Amino acid sequence: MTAPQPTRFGVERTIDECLRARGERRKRSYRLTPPAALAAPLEAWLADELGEPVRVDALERAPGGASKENFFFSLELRGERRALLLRLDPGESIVETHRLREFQVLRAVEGAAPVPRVLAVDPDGKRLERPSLVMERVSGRPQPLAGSRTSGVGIAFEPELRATLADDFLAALVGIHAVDWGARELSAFDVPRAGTREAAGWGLAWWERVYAEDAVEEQPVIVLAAEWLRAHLPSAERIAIVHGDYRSGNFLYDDSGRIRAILDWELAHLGDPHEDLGWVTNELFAVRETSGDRLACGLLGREEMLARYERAAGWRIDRERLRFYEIFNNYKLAVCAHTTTLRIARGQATHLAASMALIHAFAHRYVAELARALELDGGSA
Amino acid sequence: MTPEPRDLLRGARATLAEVVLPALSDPFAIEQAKTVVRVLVHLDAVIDDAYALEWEEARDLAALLDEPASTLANAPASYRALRDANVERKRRVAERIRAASAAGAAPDAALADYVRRQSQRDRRWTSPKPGIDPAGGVA
Repeated sequence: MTAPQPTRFGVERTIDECLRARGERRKRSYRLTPPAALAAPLEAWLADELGEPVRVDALERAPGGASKENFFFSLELRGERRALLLRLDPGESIVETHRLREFQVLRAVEGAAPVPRVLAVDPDGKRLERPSLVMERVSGRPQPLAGSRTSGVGIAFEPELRATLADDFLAALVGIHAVDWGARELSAFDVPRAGTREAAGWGLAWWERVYAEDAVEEQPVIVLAAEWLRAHLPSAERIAIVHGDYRSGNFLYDDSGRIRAILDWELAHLGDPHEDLGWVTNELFAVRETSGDRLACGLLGREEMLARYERAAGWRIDRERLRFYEIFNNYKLAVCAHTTTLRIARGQATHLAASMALIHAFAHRYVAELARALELDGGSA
Repeated sequence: MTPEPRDLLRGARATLAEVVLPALSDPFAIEQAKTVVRVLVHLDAVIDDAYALEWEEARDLAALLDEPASTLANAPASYRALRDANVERKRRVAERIRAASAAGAAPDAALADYVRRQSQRDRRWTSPKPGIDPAGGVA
C-alpha cells in the first residue's frame, strides 16, 4: 500500500522501539505459552527482584482484556501470600506498547489515583522471553456482573452506584492530570513542549505509523481523518500525564460503587489532557438512558462531566482542542480496532484470535463514528 | 447446495454453547469460548448480507473512481473476486485523498457521498439485525 506522507514529527523513542520489535517478531512464528511453563522462570525472576526466596503458584490465564496475555498467580514471600498479575506481551497485540512505560507511569501516579502497585518489569523479555510486568492484583469488577460485554464499550453501570463511581472517576482523572510529572521517573517518555504542536503531532505520527504498518487494505475514512488531523494540529497549553484509554471498562469498582483501581495504562504518555477528556466524552463509550439522555462513559451527561472536571481541575477546557482530540481519538480507535485487529486475526499471532476478529467486525461502527465526527456521514446514525 | 452456511454455523454454535461451554472450568477458556459463540452469532446475522453490501460498495467506489459503466455490467461471480476488486478500488481512493490533500483541496462532494453511504453500510454490518450486538453478552 502507499505510505502516508511523512509528518514533520517523529514518534517517541520507546514507541519506535516497540514498533520495531514487533516488526522483528512478525518474522518469527508465535506459540502460545502454557502457564505451567512460566512458573519457574517467573519465580526465579521475582526472587532476584525481591532479593529473597519466593514461591509462585496458582498461575492461570486471566480473563478480561483485549491486549496482553494476563496471568493471575499467588506469590509466597516470608510466609505471606500476595495475589499478583503478570502481563506478558503476546506475539501481536491490538496496541503495541512498552512495558517500561507502563511500569514507570504506574509508579508516577501512585497516590494521585487508585492504581495497582507494580513490583517488577522486564522490558526486554530477558526473563520470560517476551517483555512483561508484574503488578498487584486488585479485587473488583469492571462492569455489572450481569450482561458482560466483550469490549467493555457501552457499559450500563448499576444506577444506584453511578453517583459514587462518577465522583471517583472524575477525581482520579483530575489527580492524574495534576501529577508533577517532572518530579517523577519517566525516562521512557519523551516530553512534548507546552506551547507547541508536538503533543498532537507525536500522537498523530504514532497512529499514522501503526496504520501504515498494519493496514491490509486501505480504509478511505481513516485516510481522510489523518489528513484532517494533520491540517488541524493544535498546540498544547499544558502538558500532563495522559492515560490514553480512560473510560468505562478500564477501572475496577466494589459493591459500594467506589473505584478500587484505574487499569490499562499501556497507552499513557505525556501530552495534552484534552486527549483524555475527548476519550471520556466519546460517543462510543456513552450509554443511552431510558429517558433518552446519553451518559458519557455510562456515568454523567457530557456537559456535566466536562463542567465538573473544569471545577475540580481549575482550568478551562478549550472546545476547539477538545474537538480535535475527539476526532483524533476516533481515528486512534479506528486504526487499532479496525486496522490492527484484522492483521492480527489473519496472522494468528495472538492468544485472542476470535476476539480480534470480533472487535474488527464491531469496529466498522468506529469507522462510521469517525466519519460522523468529521461531519462526513450526512448525519446518519 | 446444502447445508447452507447458516446450517453449519448454527450447528457449531449450538454445540459450543450447550455442550462445550458448560463443561469448561478455566475462566479464560470460558471467556474465549463465549467470544467464539459471539463470532458465530454475528456471522449468522450477516452472512446473507455480505455479498450485497460488497456489491453496493463496488457500485459506489466505481462511480467515485469514474470507472466505465461496463466495469460493473455483470456482477463478479464470487464474493472473493468482488472483495479483491474493492480492495484495489479503495487503494486508488486513498491515493486520490492523499493527492488532493497535498494539493490543499478539501474532500469533494462525490467522496463525501461515498463516505456517507459507506457509513450506513458500516452500521448495517455492525448491527445487521435488531437486537444483535456483537459486543453484547451471550444468553
